[in-house]
Amino acid sequence: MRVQIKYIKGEEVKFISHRDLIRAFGRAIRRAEIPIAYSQGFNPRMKISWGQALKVGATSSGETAELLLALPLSPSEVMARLNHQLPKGLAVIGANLL
Amino acid sequence: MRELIEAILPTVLRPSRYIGNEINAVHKEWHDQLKVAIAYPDLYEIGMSNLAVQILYHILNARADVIAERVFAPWGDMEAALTANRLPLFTLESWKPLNEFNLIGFSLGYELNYTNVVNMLKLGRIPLHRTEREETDPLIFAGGPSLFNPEPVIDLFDFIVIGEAEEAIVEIIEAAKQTTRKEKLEALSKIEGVFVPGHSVTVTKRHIKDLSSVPYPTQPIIPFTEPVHDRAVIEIMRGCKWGCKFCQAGWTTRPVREKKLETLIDQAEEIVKKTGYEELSLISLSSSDHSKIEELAKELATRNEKRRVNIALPSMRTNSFSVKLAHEVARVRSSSITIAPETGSQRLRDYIGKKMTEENIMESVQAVFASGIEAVKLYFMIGLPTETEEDLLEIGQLARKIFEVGRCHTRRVRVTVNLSTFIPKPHTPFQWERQITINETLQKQRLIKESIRQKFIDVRWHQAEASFLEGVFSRGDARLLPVIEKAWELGARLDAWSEFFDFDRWLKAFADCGIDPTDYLRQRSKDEPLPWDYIDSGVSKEQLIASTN
Ligand code: SF4
Repeated sequence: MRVQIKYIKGEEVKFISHRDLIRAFGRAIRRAEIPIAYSQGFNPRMKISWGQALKVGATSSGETAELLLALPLSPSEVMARLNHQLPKGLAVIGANLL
Repeated sequence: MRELIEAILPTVLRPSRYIGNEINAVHKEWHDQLKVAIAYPDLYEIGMSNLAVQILYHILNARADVIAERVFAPWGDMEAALTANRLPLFTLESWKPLNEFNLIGFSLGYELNYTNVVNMLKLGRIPLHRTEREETDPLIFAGGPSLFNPEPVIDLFDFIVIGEAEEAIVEIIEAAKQTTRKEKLEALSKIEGVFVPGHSVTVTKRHIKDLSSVPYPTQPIIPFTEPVHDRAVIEIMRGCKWGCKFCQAGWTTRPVREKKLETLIDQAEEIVKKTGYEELSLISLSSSDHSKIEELAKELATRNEKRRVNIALPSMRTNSFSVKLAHEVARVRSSSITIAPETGSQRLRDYIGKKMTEENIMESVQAVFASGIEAVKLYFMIGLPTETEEDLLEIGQLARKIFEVGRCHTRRVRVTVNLSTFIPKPHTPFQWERQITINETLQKQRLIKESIRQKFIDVRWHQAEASFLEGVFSRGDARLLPVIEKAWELGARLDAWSEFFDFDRWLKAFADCGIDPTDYLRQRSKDEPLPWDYIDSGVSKEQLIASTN
């Protein structure tokens, strides 16, 4: 099942790179125990597709990403669990099934 | 100040080195708490991989009466931006200048970081020498392995801590609550393990009796930008029973103490849940010596199977038990394994007290290659006491033997030979030995390189000039501080980074101060006073002498 999330990148994290943002989300997903799907192979990766990278220093309130889940979990639960785990400045403001 | 900092951040490399706000970072409102800056004199990525930084941050911020924030050495671009904008060096959490803190504690583990301490104090607008500081200036202190010989930098600090700091730091906080600077220093001088220049005469190393009972950072800060060690770490024991004659860590962290199995399992569970790391590393100087290592590693592997957490066991003894256990508990097969035979010949290995036989090495690599690993990294030292050319040539022979074993398993074997220069360290049985010169180092490196000449055996070495400086400062005295300051004036900082290291600057600094650095490499006689004699590491000179043979 695919869940699209909409999130903000706020003041506190506007200087972190896109790559670091992806790492921060990855760790938050693990702490939140969201049943994310992984790719196969020697070096499994979380199945997430990310939007365009923001410029370092820019904030945004309309970034999106798509999460592929291995087990069902409601979008509202995904959002609640993530918001509990994300660092200051990152927050999910919407989640829906695709 | 905030606006100015905001303006320069987009112009520097990896701005997240300077901004805080990471997961588990503690941002407190400033009231009348005691403000402590934990200063690490190297880049963020290095400092954030240092366990002491995480431990102290955790202990201090757990207290309501303390605010602890971090500061690291700025990279060249950041220093230039600070200077151009007349900004002081600031902490990550509150972006406050260093001189607004009550206490600033440096963690010193590498002598090539000394110029960074000078640089950070200067950029933080703090009088450099303890004697120049006044009533309202912060108290500057330091701890860490380098302080087992504090002499080259002692005049920078109001006090130093020798040994393990988990308990001492709490007493330091209480002492720092006194009213006047004089009262504070007096109270500090009464703490076991603390040395206050001008007050103390000697100091005895502090160590924790029961490792299981001290706080451990199971909610460490998780950097945004990738640190050198990007993983959860659980320290399973301290000290090492093997007593290799060159090894400062082994001698200065005695006695051997284990953390209890139940404590370890609880801490491991917690750290995995609180961080989301993909790897959990069980660390110590010699992990296979923990009496419950097998039980621990297997239990953690079972518990973490579903969470996709890899269990890593670095620093295991070189034998087939270790290789098999590491292989059994790892989810992800490591791409290489590291072995430190230290010497090519068994004779020299026996002489330096490294209790490892060629048989141990060969059975380990057998097991390593059989488990599917294709690369072996070997660590050797050159310039050891009694070393002959034959000993050096045996390095290549050993590497070739290992390579041949690998060939029986795979065609893609890779063997790397890493050479470092032996540096006699204070408080070891080898503290009196001579260190080889830069030229000797280069010759020995060349000899080994030429004796190997094999496409799949890669020879690498530590820069001779850097080892030279490390050796000078390791056994240095108070005459070296002017040299450090001079080198800093000439532009030396971030000396641990090849992009910045410039040996000519150092040569000029030594010359300007009228000091011949090679003198510090000389052999010392057993009855001459040593600059670090006032530091009691827990092992007496008599014991060290007895262990030299
Ligand atoms: S080299 Fe390793 S085994 Fe030897 S004393 Fe040091 S830590 Fe222990």
